[in-house]
Amino acid sequence: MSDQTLHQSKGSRGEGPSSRAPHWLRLLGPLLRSQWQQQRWQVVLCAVVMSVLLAATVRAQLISTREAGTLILWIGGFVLTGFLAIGPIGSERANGTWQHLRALPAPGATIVLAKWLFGVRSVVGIVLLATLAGWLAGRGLFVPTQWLLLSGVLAAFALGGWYTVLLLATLRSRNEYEAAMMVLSVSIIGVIWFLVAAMRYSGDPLLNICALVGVAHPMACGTYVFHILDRGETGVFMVATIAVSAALWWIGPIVVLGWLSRRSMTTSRMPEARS
Amino acid sequence: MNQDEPAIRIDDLTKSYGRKRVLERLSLSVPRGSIFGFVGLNGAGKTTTIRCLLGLDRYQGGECRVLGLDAARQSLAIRQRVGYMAESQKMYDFMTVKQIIHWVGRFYPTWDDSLASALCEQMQLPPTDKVGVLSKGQTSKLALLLALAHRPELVILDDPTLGLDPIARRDFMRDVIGQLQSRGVTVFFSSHLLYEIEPVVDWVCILHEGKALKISRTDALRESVKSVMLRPRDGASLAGVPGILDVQQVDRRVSVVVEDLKAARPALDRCSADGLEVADLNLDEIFEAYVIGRRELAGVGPDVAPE
Amino acid sequence: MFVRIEPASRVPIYRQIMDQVKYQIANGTLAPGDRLPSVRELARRLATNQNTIVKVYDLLGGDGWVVRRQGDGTFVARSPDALTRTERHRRVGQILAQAATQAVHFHIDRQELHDLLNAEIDAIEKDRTRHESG
Repeated sequence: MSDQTLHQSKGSRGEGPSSRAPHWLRLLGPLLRSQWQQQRWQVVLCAVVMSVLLAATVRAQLISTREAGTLILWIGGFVLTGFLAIGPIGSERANGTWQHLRALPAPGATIVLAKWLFGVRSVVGIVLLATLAGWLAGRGLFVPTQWLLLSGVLAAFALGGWYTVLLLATLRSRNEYEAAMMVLSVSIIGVIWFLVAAMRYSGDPLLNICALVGVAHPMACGTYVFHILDRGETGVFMVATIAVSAALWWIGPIVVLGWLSRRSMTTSRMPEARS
Repeated sequence: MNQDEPAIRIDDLTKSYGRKRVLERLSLSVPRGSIFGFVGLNGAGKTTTIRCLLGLDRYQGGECRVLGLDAARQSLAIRQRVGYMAESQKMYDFMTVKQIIHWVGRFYPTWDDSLASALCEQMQLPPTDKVGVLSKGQTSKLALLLALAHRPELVILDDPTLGLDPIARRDFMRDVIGQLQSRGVTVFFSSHLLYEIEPVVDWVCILHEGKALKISRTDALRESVKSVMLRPRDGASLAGVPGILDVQQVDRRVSVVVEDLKAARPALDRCSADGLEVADLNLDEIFEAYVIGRRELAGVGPDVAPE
Repeated sequence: MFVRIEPASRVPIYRQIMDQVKYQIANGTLAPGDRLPSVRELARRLATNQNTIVKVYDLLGGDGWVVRRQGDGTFVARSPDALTRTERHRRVGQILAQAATQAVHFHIDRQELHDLLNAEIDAIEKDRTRHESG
């Protein structure tokens, strides 16, 4: 019986390995799917908790909408992003599936890219969903909806970028505990770094120079949410902050990981020239 | 690659983990279509070698060519063409058998869905059960299925029967031989259970402390490595006997395990007072002689390493 | 055809299989003309390398125990009348030489050896009559 089945049907995807080697992009599909299966409950939980909290606090008006937005979207979001960053590398390494994953014919860069893509999408999705919930809850009340929506979009952008930093930091973690410790440490540094960015508003020219360091912080646009939007300022500095963030923490990973993936796949294809 | 090239060729492979030297100038060649057994104690370097072959670990010296491809630079291509079964098979246990087969299949250009289904049926794997509830034997079979379904030319198995009961082990070997040998697929597998792999392999490589002590066809190994009992003449020393693996004193007689009986016979005859008693050895005993054989007696130093 | 291999034995596997096949041919379990399992089938049954089975069949064929017919399979040879008496003596003599050496070494005298030999032949003939009648 075994012989028969073996001599039947040729491969369903072409004759030889060289003829239809998948483009690395196509590998993202299954990788994203498995990541979703692993983290879906975490993501759903975060989305529900954040949305309900924001909607409730906006509705109840015990604190101002601004305070609610800052607290839940930005600070809560900061914590939640940390929470989501523990799993992708740490738990896979801990339960041994990481080895199995690496042994597949997929470039390491593609695997990391898929995890990054999933995480960023999740964070952005959760924050935007919560913002929407808050906005809906605030209808009919005297609530600065414009501020809320803008704040939410910026928070999604900022936290997505912050996720990139956390994921990079946990790349070498061997289990969830190490990943959690790494997230905690990097988060503390992140807060200090953020405060340096906020030096911008002290007015002191010397401190302003220090604040330049803060421009690279993924969440630097948050400083505007807390200060400038109030006064209607936008300014060059805000645009610069967002551009730098986007380049470093959004476009950067895509370009670098994509390039590494493509390079892995092409060096593998080279020997097919000879028969 | 052409037909004459070996499926795997390792030249002077050297690898260290930090300061610890794990592989020391390892060289071996696996002929196409053969079943090659890689045996050694735990920690001898079997898994490390396999990981180097697949590009999962970097190595510091030497060259590894798998199916003609360079393991250092073209490891992705190697992994596409090689079926690999790792020592510990931890897969996503939330996926069902069917789901994981489909999922893994998307990574391989030559994946054959109908072969995968046929193997699944043949191995009696329940398609709707989650991977997490499978028994150890079933998990091993699933791992084998995943390694075979893309029709690789070479299959590398790292201690595939670890943790299986004896019946499951034989079943597994049966599957491997039945599926692969008939089709001329090269099989490279590592194990520390020698008496188990002997019926299965054409070639044996004994690995110890990162070095290949012996590489030989299985039957040739059995035919040439023998245990010889003799009573030494007065003043005779065993120093002139080539290829001694183990020497033991038993009352007034001496028991010697030699690597090549034909080559050693004349010298042994000269040492002996009253002839030679030759006995066969099983593969376990041969392995022991190579790996922990005592060569210190009668002028034979511990550094006499057989080539 | 029932064959068992002992993996930890000092006797090489091919020899174990070969000896068992020879014994079964001698005691009538396998009659002349009987078809032996294919290489693949026997390898699968014993969970051994196919090349080992090929070696066994080749050796048995070379010694005249079996006949390989291309495309058909391997069959137990008809009674070896083709072999001359001298040739038959030579073959059995080889094995008897080993037995004699062991006997002398273990101080077994001629009569004991004779009795042992008779016992073995009796066992084979008993099996043979059992197969032929039932």
